[in-house]
Amino acid sequence: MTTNVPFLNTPYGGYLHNQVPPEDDELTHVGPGTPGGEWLRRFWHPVAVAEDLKNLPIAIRILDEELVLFRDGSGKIGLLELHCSHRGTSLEFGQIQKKGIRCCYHAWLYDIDGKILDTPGEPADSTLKDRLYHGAYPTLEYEGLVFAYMGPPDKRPVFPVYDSYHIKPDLPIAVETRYVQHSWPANWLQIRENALDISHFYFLHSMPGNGLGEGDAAVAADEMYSTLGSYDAAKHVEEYLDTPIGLACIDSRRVGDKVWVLITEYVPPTFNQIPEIEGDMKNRYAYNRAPWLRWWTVPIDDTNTMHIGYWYARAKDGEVQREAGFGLTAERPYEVRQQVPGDYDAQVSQRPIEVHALEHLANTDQGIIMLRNMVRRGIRAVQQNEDPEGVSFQDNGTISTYCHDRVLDAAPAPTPKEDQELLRTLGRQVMDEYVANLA
Amino acid sequence: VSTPTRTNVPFLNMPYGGYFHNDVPQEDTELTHVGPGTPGGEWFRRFWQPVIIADELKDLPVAIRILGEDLVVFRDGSGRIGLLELHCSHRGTSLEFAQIEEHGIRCCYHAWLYNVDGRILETPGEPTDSTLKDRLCHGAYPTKEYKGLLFAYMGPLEKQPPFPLFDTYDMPGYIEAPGVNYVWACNWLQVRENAMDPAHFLFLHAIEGNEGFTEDFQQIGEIDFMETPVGMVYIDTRRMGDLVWVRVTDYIAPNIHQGCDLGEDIAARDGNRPTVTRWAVPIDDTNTMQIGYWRAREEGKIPSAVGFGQMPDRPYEERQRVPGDADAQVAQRPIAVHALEHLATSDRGVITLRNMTKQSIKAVKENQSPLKGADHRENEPISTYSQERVFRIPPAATPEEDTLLLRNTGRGVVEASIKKSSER
Repeated sequence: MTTNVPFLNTPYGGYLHNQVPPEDDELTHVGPGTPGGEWLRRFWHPVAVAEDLKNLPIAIRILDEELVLFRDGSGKIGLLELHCSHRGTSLEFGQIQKKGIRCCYHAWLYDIDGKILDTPGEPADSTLKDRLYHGAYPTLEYEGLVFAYMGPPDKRPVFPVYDSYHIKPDLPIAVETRYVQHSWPANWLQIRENALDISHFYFLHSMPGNGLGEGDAAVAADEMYSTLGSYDAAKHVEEYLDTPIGLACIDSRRVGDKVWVLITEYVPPTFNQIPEIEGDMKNRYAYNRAPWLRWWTVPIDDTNTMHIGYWYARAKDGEVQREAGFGLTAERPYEVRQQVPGDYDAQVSQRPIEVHALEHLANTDQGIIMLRNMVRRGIRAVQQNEDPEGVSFQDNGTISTYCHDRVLDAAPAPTPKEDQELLRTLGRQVMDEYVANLA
Repeated sequence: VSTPTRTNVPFLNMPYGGYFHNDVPQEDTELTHVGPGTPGGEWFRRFWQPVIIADELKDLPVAIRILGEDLVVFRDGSGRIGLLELHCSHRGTSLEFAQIEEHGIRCCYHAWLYNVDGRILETPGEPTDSTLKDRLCHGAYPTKEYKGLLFAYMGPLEKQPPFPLFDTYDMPGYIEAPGVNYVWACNWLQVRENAMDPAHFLFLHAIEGNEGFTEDFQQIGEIDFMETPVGMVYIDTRRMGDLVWVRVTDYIAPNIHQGCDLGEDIAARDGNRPTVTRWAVPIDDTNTMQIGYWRAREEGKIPSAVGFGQMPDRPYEERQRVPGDADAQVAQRPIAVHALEHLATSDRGVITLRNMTKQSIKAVKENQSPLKGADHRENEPISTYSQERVFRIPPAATPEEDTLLLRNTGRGVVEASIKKSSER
């Protein structure tokens, strides 16, 4: 648990506040045997884009384990411990075979499930290969991504198929399915928290030059704030609530005579869906179901995280980009990032692992608090030998999700306070109707 | 709180004895560590320290690290300077990505606005009746902009000393400006010790190709050390025919060096005062920034770059052939391990500096004021001792007598200066 530092209440008080306490390791550490790591190991995680598996193996690190991923000559995908069971040579230098992968050093041959098929340097009557297995994890290729399960075999849940996988967008502005994939040098939790932090749209993404805000985008259709902080609280309401599969945020925005209700969601352990937020109001339909972004924050280790998933992109010429938008990498020049910071800059700079004991969570952080509580519940359930929320051992078919957005005709109420109440009511109605339709 | 852990290793006295000497003991943590709560760090936090050259503060905030703390420094739209904790009090985003405002700085993530003193002026995402901003302050440190450098005080506010004004500032006949600052990847103490080690001139700086040092420095002078009210000096007195040349260099607690420049005729040196006042500011335990003022007698004579061997950016082979100060000092290890040293006659100055520092650290640890360098009064110039004097004194009858004469002449210069300053 974390140490609390003093609530600083004097000007020029830096000296009273100059020790940095440790991070909350229960929530943030992901390695084998850690509470958070054991919880994460009860779920399927995407680990690679399947089209990247060509004729060479790929060294990857997931949940602080070094692994090798490859597709063998018969088309099967293997996810094995990186280092050969013989004398540790990395299998990123292994030779892919018709069946399995052969270490380059002494040619031990491994099947995709870890079975040792051949140890050619051993005597013909050696039984070593029949008695020993190399570490392997089950994988599943689905809609272009490779998923892995890295937990105890007897706790392997059914692979979850969300209804949104099969809904194509009908907006003229978003037509092409692409993969998102990029890695950030920060802990997974703070990156996932950002998805339950709608208010940052109104600050970070309201800054002129922030690509998410170009056109009418991120903030509200025709509503760009002139500078950071010129935010008008009366023009939006956000509410966070539990869903049967996780958490959702209802974000209701006043845009002239219309109200735009966006519902984003989080599904444990790291999945997030966001409706289309680009484009202006005149190009939006009254009801949009297809999530713009469906992505996971997969922990590489305690201080590195891979964003991976799908997004619908505007059709553009040229190469397929795996960045889903502005400010998602450190590639821009430092000065430019300082002038117009993006998500990468805001979240990575929270420290490699954000120190909760130094934070002051406030009204805008209700979603963060609910998310942390949900994660902690899951971690503690696993610690107590229970199954965490969000895993199922029975195939109940496609899983309903809640992400969507609607544009409603609703003239502003007479006063800002009444209008906020109206926004809140309309937001709740949108969610209630959606849930009723599911039933 | 760390304690000194000086493990003594055997004094090795056999050939091929490496195996008996292969443990590297820990550094002297009390003298060398600078982070919050360490004895050395708390001592350092009782002094004003320069942290950046003021004209580096333009329209973007600058992330810096001082005494092991991550900070952001900026000049707001109204010209005031803020030195704040780097990470936002809300959810930790670095304020190097914050937006500078007319008054204060605004975090990019949720737009909390901080004043230069750490007060929170706005939290626009919070309800209008929220009192959070009235109850909470962000960590901040007092600063002072002086003659082109920005200084900070990072200690307890009730212990804040007056801003120190040395008598070498604004001297008639001199112009001065902030010098180029540069960072070495080693502990501050070994960098500062070099200033009290005149012997290295005769060796390191006498290597052919080591530029910037005149031949005058390649003969052995009579070297002596004295404590002063603000620190200590070394006195280097040389016989040059009928002339006696006395060169005095200051160490001023906690980490300041003042010395006279290296390149004029002997006769013209009489009355010189230091051309450099330089701090070795700890960035953290293993990184040190040298920053300070440079002075010259004439306009245009202030150097525009650091001298030979001060930057570790020459090609490695060239540095091996002709090492400079950066190479010699950084190579003492990231933190020099005192328990492995064999201090010798040439190291009297280093020993005195360490003892002085150790006693002052101990005083702060025992809730007293630092022993030197922090007892000055507001707006009163602080006497310092670095200078050059040249006297016409014919050699004494024997070499032994002349050595004594040189030593007495040198000490006399410093004694007279100390007497003069105590009368003031």
